[in-house]
Amino acid sequence: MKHPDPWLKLVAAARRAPAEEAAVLSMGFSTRMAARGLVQRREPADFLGGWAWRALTVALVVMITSAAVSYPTLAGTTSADDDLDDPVAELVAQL
Amino acid sequence: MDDNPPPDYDELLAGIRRGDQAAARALVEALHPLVRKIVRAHLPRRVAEEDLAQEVYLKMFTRLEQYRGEMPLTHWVSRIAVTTCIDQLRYQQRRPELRWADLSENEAQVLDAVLTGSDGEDATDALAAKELIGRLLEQLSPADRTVITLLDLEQKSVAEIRELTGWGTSMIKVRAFRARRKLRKLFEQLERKERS
Repeated sequence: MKHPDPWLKLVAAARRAPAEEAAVLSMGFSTRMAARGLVQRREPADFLGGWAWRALTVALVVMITSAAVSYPTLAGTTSADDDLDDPVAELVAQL
Repeated sequence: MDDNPPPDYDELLAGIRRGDQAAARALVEALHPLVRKIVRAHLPRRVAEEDLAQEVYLKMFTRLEQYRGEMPLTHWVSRIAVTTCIDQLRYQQRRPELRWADLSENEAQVLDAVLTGSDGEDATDALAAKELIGRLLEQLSPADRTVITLLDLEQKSVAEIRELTGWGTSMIKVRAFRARRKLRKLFEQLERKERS
């Protein structure tokens, strides 16, 4: 004889279990959660905000330094290009 | 009997955004029956109910800025609770083989009754059935377990499960099918081993 699905029978049997007791919070649970929750809400923003400012400051310093260091090279590139020796041109001119 | 009017969630959320601890406490208290029910239904063994509930609340507070009010707050929190339970189940995914010898006397009796088709009617059987269901569910993957718990034990509709988990309808149906097939195999295995 084929029995009905044992899983469904088991679920039906479990439904006859007496109802569980009402949800009672342990002493101080909600206060603890509220305090930790509010702290956690503040922390990620402060943490990220702090790092973002630091990263921005470092990025600015690096940018200014590199601009200052590279300026003479960048500014002088055009004139240096003009004065470049061209051995091939010299050789052709000598011919 | 609970005569308390439903809390004004918008007001509580506004209070929390201002850093009001009393509002945060009131929100935890208002949501606790819901969170506890979900956590208890999906609770992995060896995890304390309160620890898991705590994780749910902390996630809720951290992500509160992401709540845009597109769905009721209770639905949003339910989803956090369900996904937290799935994460916890994934974290401690260790599924030792279920053997008849591991069952308590009552669990074995209930299993025998459902396999042979006889009925047990008393509360002891019902509690043993719940325990046995817990053991069987441990054999499933966290996602399959969640779907079958919501579908068969909590009698939620596919639409409700979609809302709670964020999974698509076909994925839920596939997971339910896979879970039931695995459960059928487990029953067959247990029966075979018992007979041999």
